[in-house]
Amino acid sequence: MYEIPLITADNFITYALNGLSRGMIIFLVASGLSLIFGLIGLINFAHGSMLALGGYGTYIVIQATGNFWLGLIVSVVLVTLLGFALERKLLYWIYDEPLLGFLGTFGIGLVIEEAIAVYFGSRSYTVSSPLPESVQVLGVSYPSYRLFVILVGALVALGIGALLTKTRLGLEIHATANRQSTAEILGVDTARIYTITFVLGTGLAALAGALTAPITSMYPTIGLDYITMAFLVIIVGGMGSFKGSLVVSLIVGQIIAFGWLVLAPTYVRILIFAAAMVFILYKPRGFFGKPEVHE
Amino acid sequence: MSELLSVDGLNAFYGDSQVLFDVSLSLDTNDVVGVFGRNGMGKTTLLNSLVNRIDRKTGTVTYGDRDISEWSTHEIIREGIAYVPEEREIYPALTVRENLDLALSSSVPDEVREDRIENVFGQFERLGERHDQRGGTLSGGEQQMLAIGRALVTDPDLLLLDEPTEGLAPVIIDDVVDILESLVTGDRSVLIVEQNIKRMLPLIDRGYMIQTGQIVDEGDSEYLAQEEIHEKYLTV
Amino acid sequence: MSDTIADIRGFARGTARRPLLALGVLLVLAVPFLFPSQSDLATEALIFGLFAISVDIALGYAGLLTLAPAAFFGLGSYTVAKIVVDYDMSFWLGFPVAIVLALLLAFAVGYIPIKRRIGHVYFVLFTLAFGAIVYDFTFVTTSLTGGSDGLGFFSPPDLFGIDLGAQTPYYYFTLLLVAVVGFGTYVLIKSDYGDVLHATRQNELRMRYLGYDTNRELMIAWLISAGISAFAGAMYVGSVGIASPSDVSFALTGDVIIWIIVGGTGTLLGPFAAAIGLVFTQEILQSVWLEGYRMLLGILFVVFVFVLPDGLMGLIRGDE
Repeated sequence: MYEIPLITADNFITYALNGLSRGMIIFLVASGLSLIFGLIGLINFAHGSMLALGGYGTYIVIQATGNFWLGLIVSVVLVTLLGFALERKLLYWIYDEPLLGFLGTFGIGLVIEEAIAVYFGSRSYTVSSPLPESVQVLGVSYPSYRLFVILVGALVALGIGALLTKTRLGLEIHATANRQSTAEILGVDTARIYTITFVLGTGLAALAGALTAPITSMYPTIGLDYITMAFLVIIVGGMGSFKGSLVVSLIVGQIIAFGWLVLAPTYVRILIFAAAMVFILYKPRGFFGKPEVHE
Repeated sequence: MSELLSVDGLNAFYGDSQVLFDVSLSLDTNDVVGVFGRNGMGKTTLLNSLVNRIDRKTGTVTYGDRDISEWSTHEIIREGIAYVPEEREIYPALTVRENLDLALSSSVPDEVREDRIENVFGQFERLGERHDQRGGTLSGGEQQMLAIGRALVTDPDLLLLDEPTEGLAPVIIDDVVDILESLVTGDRSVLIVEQNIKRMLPLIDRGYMIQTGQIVDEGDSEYLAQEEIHEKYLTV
Repeated sequence: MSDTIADIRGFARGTARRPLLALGVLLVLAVPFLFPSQSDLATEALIFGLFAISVDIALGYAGLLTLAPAAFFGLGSYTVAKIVVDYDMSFWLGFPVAIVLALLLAFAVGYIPIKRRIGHVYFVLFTLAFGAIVYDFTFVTTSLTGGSDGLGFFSPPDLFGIDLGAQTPYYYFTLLLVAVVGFGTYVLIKSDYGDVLHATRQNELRMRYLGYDTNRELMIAWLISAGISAFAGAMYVGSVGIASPSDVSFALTGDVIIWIIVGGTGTLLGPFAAAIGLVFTQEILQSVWLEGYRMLLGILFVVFVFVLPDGLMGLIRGDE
């Protein structure tokens, strides 16, 4: 049995920051997934493999050049290009069929994960932190790199939030997501909007993979664990709701960070999944889902 | 007058069922043409197939001197055709201004955008008063105005109107007909499909009668004003 | 190209149908003599074939795309292992207990989503969460499931003086059970019930107006699917002698979905044949390229989804 450890003010802050950094990674995965689902209605099972590619790509560049930042940029750019090619060459065929969409992306994800396993083997890899020092935050010493992750997550949240609500592109995405055929008769090139959204979502997954590499170890199926969590986050947050995926990701991050004080991490996961199942049944549009969102 | 739109041998399908059969019609520059028929005769499908908003079709649609049969919907719209759908299809969560802005291509420069939107607000004062209100909060008549405004804001050469009076209260129909009257006098071509032929006759130059997906009669507004034609093709 | 396919189709459906079937039966019966070292693999292939059939009932006939078939398969194998290894009771007791537990679990999990008609997308995600929970649970409840070590090892007992622990007898034992259950499923699907399921997929509203309780029809399919999955899992643990987390893993779920898509959804025989074919292909590929065989399998699957979404059986049967 677990004894409940005493929480001091110091490790409370440390846990909260851990939860925040983890929540931000989940958010990067979930928001991309949610954009793609909310707009295209595609259950994109290949999303996790894009995260894995982002992480392993960073690793390869670090091996070659020793530079994490270069690795982050190169892998995100390359994976984003891959997302572009996939969407243009394969996926747009199967948007109309939700089952085929799921199966097709499931297959693509499988191929990518197995290709990683062929190249790297199934053992796990770690990347050393590019910002090894710690800084004082709120009276505790905390790793700079994790603060960097929190910062990136916050910037992405602000940036995408502004993109969706303040720009012409955001307007077209809203119109396409809510009624594609109407957007078309208003002159919106919805195929292009689909491509942009898919590519953007894929880029976010790759970014999450690259950012998480110095924090957790990587293995070929790392993406599956993340997207299972991310799918459930977007259900609770409301499919297609950007705000929902941010709020729920951060809550889940905190639950994971503090949950282990009372429960083994796996039980925390089980509880989160069980909560998501209840949501699917009784509140499938989640907390922030709009009634008009894509079915 | 030169021919602006010409439809030749059009067949249209939803899934396996054919809705239009060998439809041919034409429309000259600055012409106002009506297509009349009962519900379910293929009027909406006709407009939808002109802009390729349909599963499958055969036949040719020529606009100006280009064959647009295979173009995608947004390409056709950007070529200067505006479409006002029967259901209005206002975005309920977007404001009136955002609904209008959406219809303006992103290539339109900012000053022109503002002018165009202000023009629409000049024409439809009620929309101007409600410019920051969400589309979903508008009344049926206001939504119809917004749908028409969304088409006019693009300054189209050809306007496609799908049953503009459908589902509106008689008083509001009067308003809408007034609006349409002001539209058809400008230098612009209009294709209207309607059931309510009597209200449309003063507006149109020529018209076609459609029955079970086929064009069965055509003529100028005088010819189409005859009661026996109404009885034959429109009385339920 | 299409002519050739039409020829193959006509050949497989017409003149060659009975001889092909007879050849298949003979081959299956002769495996232990022809390939004595491969009996275990053949046993595994048959079991996975039955597993594919069971999932095809849910996916191909009831239209319930589930990401948790491994949960029921694993429940079957863990139940038998638990009864034999931890409770020291009869192997045979494990089978009915496994099936009953699977039916109860399937009912508990499926009742609300089927009744509320939550739709494909939500059903996929619902079962994804359920499958993940079962997998996590298997790892974490070490006292119940043995955690990552699993529950083992044991051998199936004698039956009428024959040692089922040996490869060849267990192969025939499996063959007999798979044939009986598989044939039973076939009869069920060809019966009025199968027609009702089919019609429900085509137009559910119409079936309701005709007075069918479509919720009940789908629930029955879901329960049968879960029960047979557990039964396959129970046979599987008898063959390998240990229940382990891989029996409930998402990888196994992925495999069974691949088998069904490659074989053709809603054909029973297609997924069965594809499972067997791919288990052997996998074995051959593994000996050629151990690390890469699953990637090749994935590529094959992607080709099927994008090029031949109806699967091999769809190719042979054509549109019916």
